[in-house]
Amino acid sequence: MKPMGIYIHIPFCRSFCPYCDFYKVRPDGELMQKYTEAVVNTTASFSHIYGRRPVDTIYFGGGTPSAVPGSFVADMLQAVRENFDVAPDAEITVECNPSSDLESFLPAVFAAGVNRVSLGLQSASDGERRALGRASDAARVKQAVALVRAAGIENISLDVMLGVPGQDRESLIETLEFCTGLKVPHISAYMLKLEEGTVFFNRRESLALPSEDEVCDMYELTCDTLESAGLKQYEISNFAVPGFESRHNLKYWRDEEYLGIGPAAHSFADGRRFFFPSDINAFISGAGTVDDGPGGSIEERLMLGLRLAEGVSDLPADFAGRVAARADLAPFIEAGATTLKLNRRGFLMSNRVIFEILEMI
Amino acid sequence: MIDLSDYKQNIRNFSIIAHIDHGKSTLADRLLELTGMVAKRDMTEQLLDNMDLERERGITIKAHAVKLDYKAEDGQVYELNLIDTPGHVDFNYEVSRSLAACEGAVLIVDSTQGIEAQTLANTYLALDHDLEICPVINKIDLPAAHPEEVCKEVEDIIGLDCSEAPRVSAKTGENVEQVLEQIVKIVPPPTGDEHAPLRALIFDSIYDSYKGVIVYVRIVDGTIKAGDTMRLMSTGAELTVVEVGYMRAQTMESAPSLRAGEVGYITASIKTVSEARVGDTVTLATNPAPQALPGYRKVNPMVFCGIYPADGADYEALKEALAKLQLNDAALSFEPETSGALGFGFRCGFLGLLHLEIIQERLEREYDLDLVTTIPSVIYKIHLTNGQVVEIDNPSNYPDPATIQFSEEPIVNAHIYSPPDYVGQIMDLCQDRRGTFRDMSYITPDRVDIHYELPLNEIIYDFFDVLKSRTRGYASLDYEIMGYRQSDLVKLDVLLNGDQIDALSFIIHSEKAYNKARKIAEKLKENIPRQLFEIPIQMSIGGKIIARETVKAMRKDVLAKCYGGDITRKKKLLEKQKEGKKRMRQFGTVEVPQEAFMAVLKLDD
Repeated sequence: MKPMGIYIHIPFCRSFCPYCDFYKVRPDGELMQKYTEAVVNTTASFSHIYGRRPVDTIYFGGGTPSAVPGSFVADMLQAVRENFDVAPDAEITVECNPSSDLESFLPAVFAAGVNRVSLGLQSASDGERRALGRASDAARVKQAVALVRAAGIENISLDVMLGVPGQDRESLIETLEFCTGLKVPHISAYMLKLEEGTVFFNRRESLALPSEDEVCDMYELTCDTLESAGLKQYEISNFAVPGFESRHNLKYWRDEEYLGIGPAAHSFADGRRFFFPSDINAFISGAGTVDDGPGGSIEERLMLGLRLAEGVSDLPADFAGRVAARADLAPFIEAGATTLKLNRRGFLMSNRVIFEILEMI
Repeated sequence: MIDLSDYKQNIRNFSIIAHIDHGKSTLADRLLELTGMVAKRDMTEQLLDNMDLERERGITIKAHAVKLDYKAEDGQVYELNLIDTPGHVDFNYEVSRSLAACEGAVLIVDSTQGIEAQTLANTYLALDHDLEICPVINKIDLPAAHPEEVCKEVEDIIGLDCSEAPRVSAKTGENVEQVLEQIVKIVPPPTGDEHAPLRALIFDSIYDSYKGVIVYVRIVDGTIKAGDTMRLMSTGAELTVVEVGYMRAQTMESAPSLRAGEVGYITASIKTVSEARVGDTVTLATNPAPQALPGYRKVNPMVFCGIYPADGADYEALKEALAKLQLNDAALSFEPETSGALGFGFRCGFLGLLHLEIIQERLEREYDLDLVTTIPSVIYKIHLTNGQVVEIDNPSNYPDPATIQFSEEPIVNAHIYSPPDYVGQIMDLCQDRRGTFRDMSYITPDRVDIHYELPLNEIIYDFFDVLKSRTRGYASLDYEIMGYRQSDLVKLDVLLNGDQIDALSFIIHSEKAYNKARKIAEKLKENIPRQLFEIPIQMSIGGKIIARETVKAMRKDVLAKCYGGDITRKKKLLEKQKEGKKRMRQFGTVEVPQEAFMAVLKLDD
């Protein structure tokens, strides 16, 4: 059986960033304790339902995983190992906020087997970082990278944001040089999206946001700079030195199976998609998942797979042919006999292009 | 010998004339209450306006009638027939037929505003029909009321004695019973001979799904009863009368017969209102009247536009809805048409823009249809070089300019009534709309009648709205078609990405074409979302490009982040795209949202 991934949501944040609409609550000692127990229990019950499946990626995302004591992460990881068949070379990622107490957090999680760290840099400009609600400065990020490396872990990813308030070409170049200077093997570069309900969305009229054209130029600059530093673009927003791609995230895009544990966490297993409601208390009290329909259709494969540089293969030849024949889509795609992939212009227009392609099914 | 016509002495047939918002419907409500026709608790505001649209817009669209029993101060019981009339220029003909069914009219004047153009026009119409007018000064409960000045205005302008005119508040009910007394006193009883051959004037007809068409009539001469064979004099069609009776506020009350002087209804299994048209005369087959009542004419649509379902699958539903509305609206015409851009739809004809808007709104509201409406057009007469004259109400049928000798467009006689302060703005507006100034007269020191000849196509879009806004609501407009006049017309075409969009073409005066073209191009640019490729917008006359804009290609439409395996978001986003696309129309290679049409349609100067 193909190994699956496990995602564990850590919905705690010391401060809330004004652009983020992920599910999160304030950390509280007792709540975190109860939450850890609930994750452990859920891991066991998932194992009852789906069997002791082989697992080769585990991902602690947030929220802020580094906001909880490292021992809690270790406990959760232990539960996964007890209930699933975790491969010895499994990729085990933890997202960290550089402003967390990483000096005590990291040793604990490394001891438990974490071997990949994703750090939220967002920008090397401290002004931009402040506007994004990030407490620490760029020097602290540098320090955090050093802490990880001191433990012998090279598989590090930095998150960068494009199109944030006050950003321009020059400040982006600084940020990119900061990343390439650190020689981390993985970078995620996300374009800021104003999500409804966030502080940024409500203040959108007064934010000094770069124009759409400027953001597009920033995106292209990012792709070029990172590629020439040896980080290959393998997904719309992700770049890696070959071999350092996020194996866990690749499962999402390749339409493979994963179990998500925690409020607002999504799963795809045994052909069904389902998720936990965005309510930590419901999760702790053992409320179950909500069904989200069948997964694995050709629509899904295209919708997810076309985000990847490798695109989608093994398509019916007539379908690929019909898409290839669309003159309006030609500037955005590369079509083979049974394959489709988006080029860089296509990535920027991916919602629209993928929509047009799905309409042709 | 007993005077058999005595019953007529206690009948009063009257209508109410008022400007919009001057309180016609509210007064009618009070009259119904006072005569015990409706219990207070059953009162819906503005009972006679029973279409939602009528209540919302505060206007009467269809005529209505109701019979009231009133015991007057002289101790006698009177049969009062209130015939409510529509209140908009689009429906002038209906107004004239309703007035022809009456002997008198109650003229309501708002004591805070004085006489308005519409009121005056309808009052003159009533005087033309020899109606006795009972002036009523309304809204005396408002602090801004100045009833004495308004009375003087009525006396000066119309020459009506207002010394006896009731000063009322239809809202509070104050003095409303005086209105009923005035009606009894001033409005003469009907004349006519109930033994003469039947002549009944149709002043309205409505479609009822149980009874078929219910024809509202005023019996001028003769008597009609169930079982009679009636004949419609304009067509000669004969039908058996199923039922006759009176209209009450909330019910139909059947009666053994209707006699000369009375107002009531007839049913005779008539299927559509177009078979029993307003203004036609009903007589009996056995003893027909030698001559019909004067004044019948078939009302013809003046304004045309294409109506298309936003979703092509709704074509049949739209057809059915139009057919149903036509059952009740003889002035609405429609026939199938095809547009390269919009697919299958209907070319519809209306009395005017209000009529168009009402039909459009009813289709959307009552039949839950999503519509795309093209730019309204009037009927142009195009004289071709071969001597032929073609009438064009659809720009798509505009002939090749090389074959055109000259064109003619319909002109109206327009009277605008306004306080003198706004004369400048009004004249600017009329001048801008290619008006020809005729004359101007002071009706009173506070009121000017500005008379212009205006091309109909200049006033069918937004003239009334602009007039209202430029005069802070004080000016009012009345117009009638006066004929056709030679005009320098051109057809303006819109090209998107090189493809001509037939649904956006329209006919316009050449002097205005350039300016309009530029504005339309700008509006389209604002309203067409950026797409996968660059879209040139071109405006052309006879193949010559006179204005151009470009919608730049969209560069970015991306969901940057993968949300921890939450693909629901992504799915929702695609759903959104789908919904967005549904509201779009595919024009060749370009997608145009419905709002872009609306924006071009609502283009103001």
